[in-house]
Amino acid sequence: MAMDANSGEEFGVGCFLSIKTTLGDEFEGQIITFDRPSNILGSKTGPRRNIRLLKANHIKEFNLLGQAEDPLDIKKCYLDLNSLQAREESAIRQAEIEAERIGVGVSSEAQSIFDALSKTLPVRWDKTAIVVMNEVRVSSPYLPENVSGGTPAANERVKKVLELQRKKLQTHGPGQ
Amino acid sequence: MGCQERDLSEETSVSSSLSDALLFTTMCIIGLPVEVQVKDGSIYSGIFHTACAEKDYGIVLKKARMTKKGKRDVNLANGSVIDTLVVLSGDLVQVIAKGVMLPADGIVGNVTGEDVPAVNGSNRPPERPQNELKMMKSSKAAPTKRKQISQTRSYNQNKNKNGYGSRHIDVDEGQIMRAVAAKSVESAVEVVNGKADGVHSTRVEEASTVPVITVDEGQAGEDKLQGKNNGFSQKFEARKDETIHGQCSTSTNASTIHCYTLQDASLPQLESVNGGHVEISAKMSLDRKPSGSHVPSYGNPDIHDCERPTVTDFSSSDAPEISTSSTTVVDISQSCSNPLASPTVSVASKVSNTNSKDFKLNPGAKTFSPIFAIPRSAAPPAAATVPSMAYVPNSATVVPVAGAQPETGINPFAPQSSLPIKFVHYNNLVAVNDVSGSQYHPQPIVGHVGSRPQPVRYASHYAPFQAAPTYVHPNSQSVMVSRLGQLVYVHPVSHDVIQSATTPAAHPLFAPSLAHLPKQQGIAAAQGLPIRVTPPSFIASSGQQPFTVPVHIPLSQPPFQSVRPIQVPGANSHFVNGAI
Repeated sequence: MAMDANSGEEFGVGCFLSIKTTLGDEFEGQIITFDRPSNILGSKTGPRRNIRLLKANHIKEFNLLGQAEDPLDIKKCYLDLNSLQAREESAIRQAEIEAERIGVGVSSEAQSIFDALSKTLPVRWDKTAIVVMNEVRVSSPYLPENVSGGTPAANERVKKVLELQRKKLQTHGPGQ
Repeated sequence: MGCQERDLSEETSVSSSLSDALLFTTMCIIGLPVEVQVKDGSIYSGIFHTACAEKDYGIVLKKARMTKKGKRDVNLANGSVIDTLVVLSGDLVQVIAKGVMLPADGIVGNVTGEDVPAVNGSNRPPERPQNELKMMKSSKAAPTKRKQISQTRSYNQNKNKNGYGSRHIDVDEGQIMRAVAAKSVESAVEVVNGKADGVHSTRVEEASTVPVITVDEGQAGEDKLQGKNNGFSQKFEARKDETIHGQCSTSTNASTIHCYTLQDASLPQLESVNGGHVEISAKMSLDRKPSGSHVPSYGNPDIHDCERPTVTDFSSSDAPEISTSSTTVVDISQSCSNPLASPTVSVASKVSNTNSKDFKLNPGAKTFSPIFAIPRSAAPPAAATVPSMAYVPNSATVVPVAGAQPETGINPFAPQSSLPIKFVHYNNLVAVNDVSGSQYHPQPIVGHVGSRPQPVRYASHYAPFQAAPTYVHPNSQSVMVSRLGQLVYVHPVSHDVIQSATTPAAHPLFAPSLAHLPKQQGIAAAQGLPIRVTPPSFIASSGQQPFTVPVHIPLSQPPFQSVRPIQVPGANSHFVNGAI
């Protein structure tokens, strides 16, 4: 049945389907659209709908759970392009900010240390090294003895904070 | 619009490849964090940027990160962020956007739950969604297309804005109308200055052409005319100014007065002054309006008041010129005395308005320059000759004139002055000079001179005397009455002063004082008006005034006599009081 899409809109819009994908995903949803040229099946699930655009040729199997009317009334749809753009821009900005906080090629422990330090000191990643206050570097494996640079006072301070944070992480477990 | 058209054309070509529903769904998830699963099972999470609406449904993610590693090896550092990830149609398995609200099932609000409502419900007419969808299609092809869409959107918004702008304009006009109607000439003037130059001009024109009463009407109606006349207003103003000036020289005192005001406006310096004049004039018009058929004298008094304040301002600002300005004031009073005064007053107000407009419109005020020259030239001579002359003329003509001035000046001023004051200052400076010059020419300096010295005393007198207006009433004639009141004040002072001043020595004294302090000079000018009054008082209402005089004299005189410089402050205070 799934492959029937090739011969027409076999996926009736509005149908509730339970679908298994070739990659092992299994979900239920209501068909909101099926686009034959791209073979994309659009579905939504839940009250706060998760929209899923699935390529129909990755459907392993599905079951028809029920049928309803087309949930999407094109004539009643309106999109505010400006708000869409704004939404995307803000999302990208947020993503950039978060991306800066994520060390590239570092262990989750390193990231935890970074996150812990960031709560008390301005920190940033310099590759795999954590740079604190733009002067003190904490390089892998992020032990107090790996703290280098900066003024003696700053260096000592970072060491202390690092020690404390590591203790906390040990007690609460990484990622806390 | 061009963008829209393009989009439409693209849409037509694209529509065949993607269904509207898919396009719409795709649009709904733009800018949302999504998870994209690809063939090897790896999942990337990122911000859904766009999708290809062509035959194959490829998508583009921003700030994508691999959250689940698939079967294949990827040359991607763990946790590294891919700024732009393009997932081709062949690799795409599914796109999952969580927490998205679709505008489905008749739900109006399609808001995704994120801060921004991606989709608004069914509020819009059906056409729009389609267009948008089309737009979407086009946009999907490339980011640039999207930009186009946004531009078109913005364009629409601009249109809306424009619409609003027009509305605002309307509102302003309405406000102007209100202000005028309200009578608050000041507000009207302000509005005119800031917003509608055309209105002012129109008003002015009307004023010049129509009698005083009409002028008031004209102000009320001017608002309506504003839109139409804007283009012409400037020209008219210039013409009017010219014409007015010419009239002033030839016509009666009243006309001359008007000319003065106009001249003031024309002067660049006068800008502030002009504003003051304008205000005054506006007040005048207002007064006239309420009074309607009332004796022109009311209008005149107002005018006088207006002029006086301005004069004082001038004096403060400009020392030598101030004296002349004061003389001009006197002239005004004379005009008031004349039957024509009422019309002239209205004209003056109008003129002032035009002047103000001109200033705004033409900072340079080229048209004005000629006028200035005249007044200025007149002023210097006036200063010299005026003192002696002034007394005589005042005495003769003064009676009527002076009476008129006092009336308008004090009472009307108090209310009006308060509002206009700001404007007045500006206007005063410029206007005064011009006025004085023109006035001097025709009427002589004499009046001016006399007024100048006296002014201080008058000022003091006025303050106390303002009560005097009642006295005036007894006189019978409204105009006369007001004049009388002022005259009364003046008389005491003026007489004393004049008498002393009449002698050559006295005049010199006054002159020096004026010259020394610009402010004083201004006062002097104001005083000048009173002086005029004084003569009339002697002649016409000497009997009545005398009573007032004694009292006044003591009050006013002490300051004057004691310190001439003091006169300035006194004058100011007086004016203020009068205004209040």
